Amino acid sequence: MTRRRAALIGAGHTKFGVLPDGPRALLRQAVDGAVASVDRGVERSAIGEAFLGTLGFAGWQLGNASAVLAEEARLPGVPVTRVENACASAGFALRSGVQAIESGARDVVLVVGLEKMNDAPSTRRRYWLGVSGDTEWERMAGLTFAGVYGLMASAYLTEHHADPDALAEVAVKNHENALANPNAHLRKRITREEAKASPLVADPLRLFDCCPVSDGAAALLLAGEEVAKRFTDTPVLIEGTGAGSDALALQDRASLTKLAATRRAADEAFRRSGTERRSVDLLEVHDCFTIAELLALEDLGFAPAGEAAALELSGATRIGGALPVNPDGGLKAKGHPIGATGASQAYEAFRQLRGEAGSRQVKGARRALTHNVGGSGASATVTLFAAV
Amino acid sequence: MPSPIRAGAWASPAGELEGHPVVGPDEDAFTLAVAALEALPTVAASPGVSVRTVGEFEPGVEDDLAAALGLPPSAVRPPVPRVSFGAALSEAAGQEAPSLLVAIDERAIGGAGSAPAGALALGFGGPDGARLRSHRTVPGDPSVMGMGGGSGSPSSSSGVVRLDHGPAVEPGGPPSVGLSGLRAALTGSVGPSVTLVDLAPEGLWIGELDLRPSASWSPASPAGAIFRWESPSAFAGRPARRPPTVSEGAYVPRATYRAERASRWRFAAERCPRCGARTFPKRGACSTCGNAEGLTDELLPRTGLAVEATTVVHRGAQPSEFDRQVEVSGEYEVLLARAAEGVRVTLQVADVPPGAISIGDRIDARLRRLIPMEGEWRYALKAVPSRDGAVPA
Repeated sequence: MTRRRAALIGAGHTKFGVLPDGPRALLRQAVDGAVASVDRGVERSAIGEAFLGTLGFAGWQLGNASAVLAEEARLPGVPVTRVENACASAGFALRSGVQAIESGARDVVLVVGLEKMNDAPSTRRRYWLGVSGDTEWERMAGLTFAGVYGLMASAYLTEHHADPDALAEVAVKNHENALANPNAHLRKRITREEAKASPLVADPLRLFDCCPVSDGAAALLLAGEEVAKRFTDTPVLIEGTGAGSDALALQDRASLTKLAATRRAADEAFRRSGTERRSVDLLEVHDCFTIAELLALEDLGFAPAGEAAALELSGATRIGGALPVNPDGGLKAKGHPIGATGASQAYEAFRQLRGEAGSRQVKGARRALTHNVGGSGASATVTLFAAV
Repeated sequence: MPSPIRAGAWASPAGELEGHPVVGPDEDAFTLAVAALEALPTVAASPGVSVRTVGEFEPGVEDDLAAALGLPPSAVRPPVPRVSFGAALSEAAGQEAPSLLVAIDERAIGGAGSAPAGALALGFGGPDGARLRSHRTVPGDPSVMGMGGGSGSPSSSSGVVRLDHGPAVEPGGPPSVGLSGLRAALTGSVGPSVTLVDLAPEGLWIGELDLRPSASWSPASPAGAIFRWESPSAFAGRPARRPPTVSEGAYVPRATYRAERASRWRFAAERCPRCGARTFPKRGACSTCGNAEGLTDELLPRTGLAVEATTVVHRGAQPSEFDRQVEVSGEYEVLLARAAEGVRVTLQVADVPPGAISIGDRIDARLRRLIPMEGEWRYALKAVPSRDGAVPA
């Protein structure tokens, strides 16, 4: 493979949660954190281009949000592009950054994901929570994403006669992992019984099956493979990215229990990177609802159809298991500031593959996969990272 | 939980209502009128059919009724303000081509009264339609005659039915048309022929109506249908008739919504002549192969659809534009059902408690009121338990 590859040289992450900080402060914190994390330092003047993933939740700066990032990152004159693919905004912003470097257009690129969700009243929040679903038909039947994933969960459990305890187990595991993540929104150990007794939201999904509504931002600094060594001895190589799309509405998809966009994205990422699934040491998957983690394991090719539930219940997906999934707590417990999530997942890959993940470190991790989904599966991107 | 109402075609041979329990907080003049008219499929499908309305309809209802029934817009006459039932019935029965009359009684809507409310449709012309043998108007002021007012109780002795009139729905508006009297006739308690007496503003209207004029009459093609509220408590807590002009929630522009009425209200799909695939909703091009030429309209079945996924949306998980519905009626179920090969539909469930429908069940789709948006009510097909049982879709 002769193409130029991109590498992560730095990554920053704000706390996730209900935060007092506004969007500008969150952008600043994440970017400053990423710049400060570069081992030998980076001049901001070296950054040639930036990409911002954000939905603009509750109507924040729906147009031209890029200019706000240029201001807060102190990048005067640098081109910034805002990327919006709902919950996969930052995953696709990262992909754009990788492409800018792979193409040779830029040597150093900044990628930021941001969402500020808790400064709007609850009615306005519920108005915005479903805006990335199919407005004309799904939403007009009374669905937000909890409802759409509830439909997928009901179809999955019925089709595969799957043990519904697997949903609770995903929540328990991800809460456990978040305890070791100081940035996580929900840092509270829960039991399977508590998860199963929590209030119904969109059955079979309960409150503990759902990610929280979080504020937060994450920032990534990318450099061309050959220039990365100027900034750090331990860059994290981006071996390949893949992406896919599907119908916006669940009713228009071929399957209710498989995300075609994820499958296509994973196949492309593995093909481009030349690696195989068995060489991956940890997964950061898009678990906006617990059922989504089960679907992701199958769609990404790590479990046969219908067997992700048993895999979760076996303990294999815990830190220390054969295939740790969401060691940072996932969207479920770390939190899900919509536009920030894709960058947050890459931040975790950066920390894990450099052995900097503290008590949630996956021992000997050399290769990580991140998986970011827009809406209920209308878009998805997969990225493969490797330690050098 | 609102009380159930019973709805169905009146004209079974035994004269009973073929009952179907439904709850009705999502019913209004428009949905009741559509349901009543759809119970007269033979007349509604006649070439050149025209439709007239009596009662408190929103302006512009004629266009929506035409869209819901798949008729050309000109087939439905605009509502005539203050028209009496007798005058409208004479007009409908006097047409050469088949015609339909739909009357709505909305007195109970908005908690304005205790009388039952509902819609009634009569079909005229063709072999199965009703026939108005004669009618006359005795001039005079009904209130002077001492027969006006809103007792709400019909007299139906000796085959004479007095159409009861109620108070105006809105202050200063026309009196509402009472249907309970005519219902008594239609349900057979006074026989197939009936004398109707209407206290119209222009005087006393008296008509002789023959409800089963034809020997070929069959329950499959009834001349009349009635949809009646079992209890006005079904309306408890209903929002005002006119929706708020500002809507809080996701936006489907009025023009887009109206352009999609055939798909939203009648399950109109497109069939591709090149690859044979169906596209639903209609989008003007085949969603499978992209062909945009020669697409033919096809109505997907609205009965016996198989349920493939369900969820109950609990309080707080609804889109904000459904807040009012949740406040009034609580949580609701939403499902995905297979309408045809390669076509699924997403429907909210009506009439039964949330969770009552499961994967594998069969449902029918009925037109119901949904949510206010941009100052008007939006309507959609909703799922109710199938009356056809396990019919392959």
